[in-house]
Amino acid sequence: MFIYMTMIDSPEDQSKFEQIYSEYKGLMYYVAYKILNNTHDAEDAVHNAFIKIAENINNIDEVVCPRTQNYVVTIAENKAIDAYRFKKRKETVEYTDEMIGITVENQTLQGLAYCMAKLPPRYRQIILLKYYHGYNNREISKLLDLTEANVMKLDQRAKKKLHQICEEEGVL
Amino acid sequence: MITDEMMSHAAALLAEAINKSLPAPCECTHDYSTGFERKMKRLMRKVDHPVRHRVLRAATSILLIIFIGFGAVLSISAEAREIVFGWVRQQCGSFYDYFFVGENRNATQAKYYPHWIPDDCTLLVSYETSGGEEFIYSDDEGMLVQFAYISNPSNESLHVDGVEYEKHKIRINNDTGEIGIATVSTETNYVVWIDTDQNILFYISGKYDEDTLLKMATNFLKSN
Repeated sequence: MFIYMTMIDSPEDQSKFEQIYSEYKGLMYYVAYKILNNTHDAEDAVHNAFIKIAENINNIDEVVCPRTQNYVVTIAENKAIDAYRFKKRKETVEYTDEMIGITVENQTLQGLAYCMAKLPPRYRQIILLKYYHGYNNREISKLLDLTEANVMKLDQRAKKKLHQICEEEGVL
Repeated sequence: MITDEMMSHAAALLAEAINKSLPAPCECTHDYSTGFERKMKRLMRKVDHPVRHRVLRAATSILLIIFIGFGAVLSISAEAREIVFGWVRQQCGSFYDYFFVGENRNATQAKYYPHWIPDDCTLLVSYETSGGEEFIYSDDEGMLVQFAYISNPSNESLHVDGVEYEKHKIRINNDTGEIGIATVSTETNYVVWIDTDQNILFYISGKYDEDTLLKMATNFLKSN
């Protein structure tokens, strides 16, 4: 926990972080628990997500808005999937990266957005952070604890997978 | 052709759909455990007193250095260490996760550099990571060519998308490794090997045939 306080220096950011905590802690737990099905693990994932949010507090302008909601949900989902993967290292149960993550209700989506919703979570997260939140590879690597090269590769693979889904769905 | 503008527009629609797929934040209530709440309260206090806690962090760092110093003095059975440390590969869905287990007795400060690259490679970026170094090139088709090594494995792991590849064992400069040939044209091939004397993991990926990749690997050498 020593990490937190050195990352948030200005009074404005301190207040913003507290607001984010009280506004989204329930939703972040909901997302993490959906993936991990375990209270303790879900709380740990939320804790790790808050560390990342604190480290990158300058990324957030307005606390209560759809963009920030999607941002904290994406980070919570990512940290929960990391925790899930770490847990599966110790078990014999096979992990499939296609099967976990938020279930997106895509009935209202069409075209490219519909295909994006069908991407595996880690590809979807990269696409959202890059094209909706506007972060570059370096910023995404810090958020997701990946190397910049891995982010570049994931981005490239995500786009290829998206093309493949688009072709299957007859979108392009 | 999907443009960046189309991607941004679709990503915004997707983000909206994700938000709608979830309950509103005010509807999500969870009674967090006492431990979690305690940590968060401590956090809020720390946020209110950053300077005081920066001093505390410095003090903690000094204590940590002292503990590490004592740890180095302590001798532990070499046989026991032999059993518990080494690079481990774990399959996670469609990719492999390489991570180091145990204490690295042979940590090295040595640096490595690709001494031979194919003619169509252009360096995009190179940088040090927490456990090693990466060199990213682009080939003439715009595909990424990646050279990486991890010499301080306690800090880093490596993800390799290679589960569905055709794989076989290879030897690179007296070390053993594996080459993965992609089964679909959109993926890149890779070679990964381990210097077991120094516990260094090496990785190269690119859209090149086996002979070229092996030549690149053989020439991924220690910098002078």
